[in-house]
This record gives sequence, C-alpha cells and structure tokens, in this order.
Amino acid sequence: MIDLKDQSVTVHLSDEGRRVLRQAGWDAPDTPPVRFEVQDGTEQGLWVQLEAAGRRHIVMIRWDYILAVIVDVGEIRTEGLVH
Amino acid sequence: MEIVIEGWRAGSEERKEAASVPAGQLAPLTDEQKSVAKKMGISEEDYARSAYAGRRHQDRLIDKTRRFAEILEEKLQSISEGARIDRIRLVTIEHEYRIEIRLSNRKLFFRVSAEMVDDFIEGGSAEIGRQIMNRLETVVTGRAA
Repeated sequence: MIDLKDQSVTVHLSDEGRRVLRQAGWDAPDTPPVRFEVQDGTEQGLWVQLEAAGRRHIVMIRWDYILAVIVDVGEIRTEGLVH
Repeated sequence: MEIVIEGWRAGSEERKEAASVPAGQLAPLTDEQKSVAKKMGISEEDYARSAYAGRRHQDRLIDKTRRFAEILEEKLQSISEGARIDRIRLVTIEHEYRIEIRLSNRKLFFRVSAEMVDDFIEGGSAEIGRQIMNRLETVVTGRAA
C-alpha cells in the first residue's frame, strides 16, 4: 500500500481547488503543478504544509480538487556488509 | 548482507537542513535528475535541495535498517543454525521491509511493516519486537511461534 507521509509530491489542482486555496489565504501559483510536502494522506485528501503570511500551516486538500499527484519516490541506495 | 533503501522521504528536520545549505554547496544534478525536475515542473535548485534532504534521510534509514538487520539475524541464527539474511530492502513508498533469508537448503522471504520496525527500533516497544520475532519464527519453521 502506498504511504505518502513525508513525501514530496507535485499536485495538479483543479481550478476550483486553486480558487479554494486562494480563498483560504494561500497565494497559489498559476502554474498547473504545485509542489507540496505531504504530512499525511487520508481517504478524504492530502494534509500538506503551506506557507502563508509568513507562517506555516497544515492544510487538507480534498481529493475532489486534485486531478493528479506525481510522487518523487527517490533514488535507490545500496550498501553491503561483510558477514 | 546487502542493505537496499529504495526511495526516500524527507522529514521536517532534513528539509530545514537542506533549505539552509548555500546553493553552491548542493551536489550538481545528473542529467537524469535534471530531467525529473523538468517533468515535475520544479527548478533544478529546488530539486537539488529535495535530493539533499532525501539523501540525509537515507543515511538515517541505512543506520536504522542495519540495527534492525543485526537483531533479526541474531534471532534467525537461534531459530536455524547457519541461517542468514542475504538482503534487506526497505521500500519507502510502501513503508515495508522485504527480507531475503538463506537457510541451508532454501531461500525464504519475510515482510514486515516499517511502522512496526519504527516502533521497535526507535520507539523501544518490546511487545512489537516480540511480535516481529514471533512472525520470523513462524516463517522460518512453518509453525506458529
């Protein structure tokens, strides 16, 4: 099962989602993809960190407003140990 | 034993640290990383900071995985002489450890959630530790521990 907690994700918001975030005081960029750090993922949506008015907030973005999520899974690192 | 960390996460500590690194001290991106940054629609510097945070997180994961593997292997050898761990792999996006165990005449696979390992190794939960070891014994012997 995928677990998005603490992952960096790029989210494609719907116009409505962008409007709602602006209404909530966040200066959402006009570019379609927006990068977020995920605090948690739930059945309702994503809890993400937002900076607004110089303060950090944790905001729920409902899945209804999310068109796509791209996860930067990261790279593979391998280390060997001598038995 | 091989330790593989597949992917990364970045907690707030690593992100803060990455944010404070001067741009000139960030590792230059490979062509592949530049391509990923472009596809994700983020700047190369942002991606370099993200990769820095991810690598710092992987350092922690390597240490934790090694500690867990050593405890697991000690238990393994008490269950079955000569048994050893060939490979322990943490798949970060699925939050799961996948362990390949070599017995004298066969190979076994053992899975355990990263949440349980965190509770055991970082949280110090003896009860969770027992649960993990009991599961290992069940997988190795084929009998409920």
